[in-house]
Amino acid sequence: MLISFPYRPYPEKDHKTNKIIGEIYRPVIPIRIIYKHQFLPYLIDCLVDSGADRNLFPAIFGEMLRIKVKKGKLKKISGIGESEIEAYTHEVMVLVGKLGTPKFKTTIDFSYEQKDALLGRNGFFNFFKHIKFREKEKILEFENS
Amino acid sequence: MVQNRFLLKTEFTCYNIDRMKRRKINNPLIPFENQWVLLTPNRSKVIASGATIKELNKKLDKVENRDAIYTKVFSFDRVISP
Repeated sequence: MLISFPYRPYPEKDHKTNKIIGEIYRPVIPIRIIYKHQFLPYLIDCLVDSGADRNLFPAIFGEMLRIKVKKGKLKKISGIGESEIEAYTHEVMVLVGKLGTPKFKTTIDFSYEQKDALLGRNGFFNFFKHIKFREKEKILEFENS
Repeated sequence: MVQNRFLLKTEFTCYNIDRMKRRKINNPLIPFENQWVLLTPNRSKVIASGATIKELNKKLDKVENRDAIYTKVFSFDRVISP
């Protein structure tokens, strides 16, 4: 089964003039997360990040699912520069897109220091046979394994 | 004949100006820089916004539409390199 999502446009501003000069397209997809039969009322836009080892979400989404975030296994996460953040791993169910297919049980690291939701290789990419970033067409394609 | 050429050139110029006008960025996220928003399922409108998810949730009395989407609107002069 092949599912595709268009990249999403975000406004781009010029530093000097402070004016909107264009749009940046990003591989962002909507997912739904479920924890112990409870699910968030809405979908969450997540950046599909091939450079991320794991899924990383703001802790607030865990709290909304009544997850005791700090009771999860502690993970230290580094990214740009020398900064390091703490995150707590929990097992959840992830449904991709509005129709909720595909869906799979995986883990998400929730952090109080993380501002946006990232889908990484271990815990998201590994559930698919192929993930294709069609940069020219600005389309992201998933093929189920 | 000369007049016709002039008209053609003028039409072409007008057409280009029209195309330039149509290229104006019309993104519903523009007023919501650095905020969390809830988008309609087709992403054409913002239902509610807040500086944080908590603040956004406070503005949502009832579940609007289960296919609405939480989106973080990043700073427009920020490049993401996670």
